[in-house]
Amino acid sequence: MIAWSAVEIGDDHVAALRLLLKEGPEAWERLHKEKMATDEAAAGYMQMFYAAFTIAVRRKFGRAYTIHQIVQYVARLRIEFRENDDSDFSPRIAENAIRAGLGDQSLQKGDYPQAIEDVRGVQHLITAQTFVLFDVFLTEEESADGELVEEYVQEATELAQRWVREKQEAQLGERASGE
Amino acid sequence: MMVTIDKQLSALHALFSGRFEENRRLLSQLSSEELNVGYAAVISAAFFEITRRRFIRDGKPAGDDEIIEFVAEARGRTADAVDIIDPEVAEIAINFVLGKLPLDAYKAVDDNVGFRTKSLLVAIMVADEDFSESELDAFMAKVRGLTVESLQ
Repeated sequence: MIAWSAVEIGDDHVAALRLLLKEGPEAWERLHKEKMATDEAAAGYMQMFYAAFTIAVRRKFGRAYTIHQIVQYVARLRIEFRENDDSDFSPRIAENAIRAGLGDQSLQKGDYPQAIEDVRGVQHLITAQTFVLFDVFLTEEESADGELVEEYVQEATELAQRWVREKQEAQLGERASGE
Repeated sequence: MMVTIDKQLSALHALFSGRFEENRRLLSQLSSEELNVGYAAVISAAFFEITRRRFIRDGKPAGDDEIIEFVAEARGRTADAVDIIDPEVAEIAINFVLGKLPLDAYKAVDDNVGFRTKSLLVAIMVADEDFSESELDAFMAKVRGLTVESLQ
């Protein structure tokens, strides 16, 4: 289990997200090899990545959306994805990731691959999240005035910092009640 | 043992004619074996027939994109279709019937999820065909023949 007290979102994580948005997933892959050797080291980066994905889906779908809009969106993304790649990602995992990002309370615990043992699930999750993030980001970028990367970085940093704080507090609470 | 399928075919016929109450009533009269074996076989046969009818043109099966789009669209047809139809299972079931997948591709599918998914998809595809009464009768005769074959 990750000791969240040892995790803090800092300049490295901010720079990493900036690099990801500017240069694409390959740049992140390089970082992965250099800086994410342990769970604790990787945790900050993963929180930043999930935060950026969450910002993207919130910007795309806002507050008013239907599940079927998400279903149709994921279907379109998979069709595009398969044009350039002979792999695919699970539609259910992608839909549930988007719904989770939008705060859908009706999702069940088993709907979302979180356990690291679920290797296939986690791979599909990360592929889907990466593809959604870049689809939303690049579509917005076409009509943006150049500040978009910083907007994403700032919003994602605030969100990731909040999540880490919440996890630290939750873990402290667990420890206190366990003693 | 020879499984009789008359009651199951009647239930399916009611479903395809939009007589949902009758469909439910007939299904409730089936034993669990009549449901699990007979009705599942009837659904599978109807699914096979309607899927090939819809997605094979000039002897060629539809491409993956068309199947993905159809499944996504079908999952918006009713309020709970999005949960009933598992998208991965739906695509496997369709592509399997179209002969696009290896023979063991359907083995990994959970029986219940497969049954649920195919039941709703088959109803949607039959509704889309907008059969006349005589066309539906002809379709049901094919389903009967296929089911008998599959249970032998």
